[in-house]
Amino acid sequence: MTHGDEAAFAALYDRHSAILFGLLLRILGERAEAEDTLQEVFLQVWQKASTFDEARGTAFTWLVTLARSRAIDRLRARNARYRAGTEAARNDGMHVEADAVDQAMLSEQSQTVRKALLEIPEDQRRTLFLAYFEGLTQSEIAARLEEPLGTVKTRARAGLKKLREILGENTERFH
Amino acid sequence: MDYEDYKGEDFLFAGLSEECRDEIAELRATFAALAHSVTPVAPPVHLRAQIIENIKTRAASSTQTVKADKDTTRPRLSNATSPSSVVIGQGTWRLGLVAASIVLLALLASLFWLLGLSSQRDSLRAERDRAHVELAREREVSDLLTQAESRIVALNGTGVAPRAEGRLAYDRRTGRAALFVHNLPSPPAGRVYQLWFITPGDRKIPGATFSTDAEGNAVVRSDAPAEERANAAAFAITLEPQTGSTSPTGEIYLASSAS
Repeated sequence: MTHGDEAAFAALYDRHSAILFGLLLRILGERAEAEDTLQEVFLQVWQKASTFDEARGTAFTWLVTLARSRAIDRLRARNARYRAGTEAARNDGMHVEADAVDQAMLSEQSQTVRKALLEIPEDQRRTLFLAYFEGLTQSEIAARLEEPLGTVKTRARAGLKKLREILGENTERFH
Repeated sequence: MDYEDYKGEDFLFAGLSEECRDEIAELRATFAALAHSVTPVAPPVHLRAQIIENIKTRAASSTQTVKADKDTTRPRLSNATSPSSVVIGQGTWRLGLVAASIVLLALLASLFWLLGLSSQRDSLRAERDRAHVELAREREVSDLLTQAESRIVALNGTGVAPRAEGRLAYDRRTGRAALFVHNLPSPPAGRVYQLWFITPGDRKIPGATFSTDAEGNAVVRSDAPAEERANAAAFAITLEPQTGSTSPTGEIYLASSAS
C-alpha cells in the first residue's frame, strides 16, 4: 500500500483492525481510548505508508509496533495502570488460556501463539508480557519483579528466542 | 520506518550487531506476534467509516491545487511609432489589466466561497462523526442494559454528597459497565471521580475516571479487567487526582449497598 491507495488502505484495516483493537484494549483497558488510539494508528499508517521498509519486517509487525507504541505512550501519560496486565504480572496469572467461547473465536494463529506462550517458562513469559503490554524498560521490570537487571534481560531474550523456535522460522505466517 | 516506535523493547535486541539483521528482524516479528495472544475485538462499525473518511479528506486536500488563469498575451505595440498608436496601445493594455483584475477577483471570491463551503462541510462532517460516535455509545449502553447477564446496581450518596445517586449496569460475562450518576457535585479543579470494582475480598480494582456536567450528571462506560470480571461484587465512586489512581485515595461519594 502506498500513499494514495485508499482501497488498499481499507483492505489493510479490514484485515488487521480486530487484532489491533484487541491489543489496544488489552493495553489501555478503556474502550474509548482504544478507539481513539486505533484512529491515530491508521492515520499514521496512511501518512507514513511511503516510509514502510519491507526489509525491517512485515506490514503486520509494523502495524503492531505502531499500535503498541501509541498505546504505551497513552498509558504512561495517563499514569494510572489499572489494566489487567499489571495484576496478571503480579499474580500467577499470565492469562493466555481462553474459555470455551473465546476458544471457538480464536484464529489458528492465535491458538498457536497462545499454546507457544504456555510452553515457555512462566518467569520468561511474565517478563515478555511486562515489556509487551506495559512497555516497561528492563529497569522497570527488574524493579517490579524485584529481580536483578541482568536476570530480566536474560529471561526476556531467552523467552523470545524460545518462542521463535516454537513458532518456527516462519513467524511471518502469523501476519 | 520510524525507529523510535520501538521504544521500551530495545533491550530485547540490544547487543545484537548489525550483521544479525535477519535475526533481529525475526525476533521483532516474534515479539509482534505476541499480539495474537489477545482476543481480537472488532472495533465499532462507525470507526471504519470515520477513519476512511478522514484519510479521504486528507488525500483530497493534499492534491487540491488552485489554478489561476494566466493571461500571457499582451497587446503588442503596433509597428507604427506615432504617438496616437502608442496611446491606443496603452489604453488597450490598461483595459486588459482591468479585465484581468476583475477575473482574478472573481476567482478569489469563488475560492473563498468554496473554502467557506469546504469549511462548513468539514464542520458538518465532524458533527456527523460525533453524532455517530455518540449513537454508537448509546447503542452500547442500551445493549448492556438489555443483556440478560447484566445486573443493575444502585449507588447511594454518602455524607459528602447525600443527594447524589447512581445506577450501574454490569455484565459479569464481559466485564462491561455503564454508570449513570445524578446530582454529583462537580469535582474541584485538578480532581476527577473514579469508579471502583470491589471484589468480595475487598480488593478495589480501578475503573474509568470521569467528571460531571453542570447539572451533576454523567454517563460513563468502563470495563473491569478480564481476570476480575466475575469477581466484582460491589462498586464505589471516589474523588481522585486528575490522572486517576491505582488504589482509592479520596473520599467516597457513591457506593453500592454491599461496599
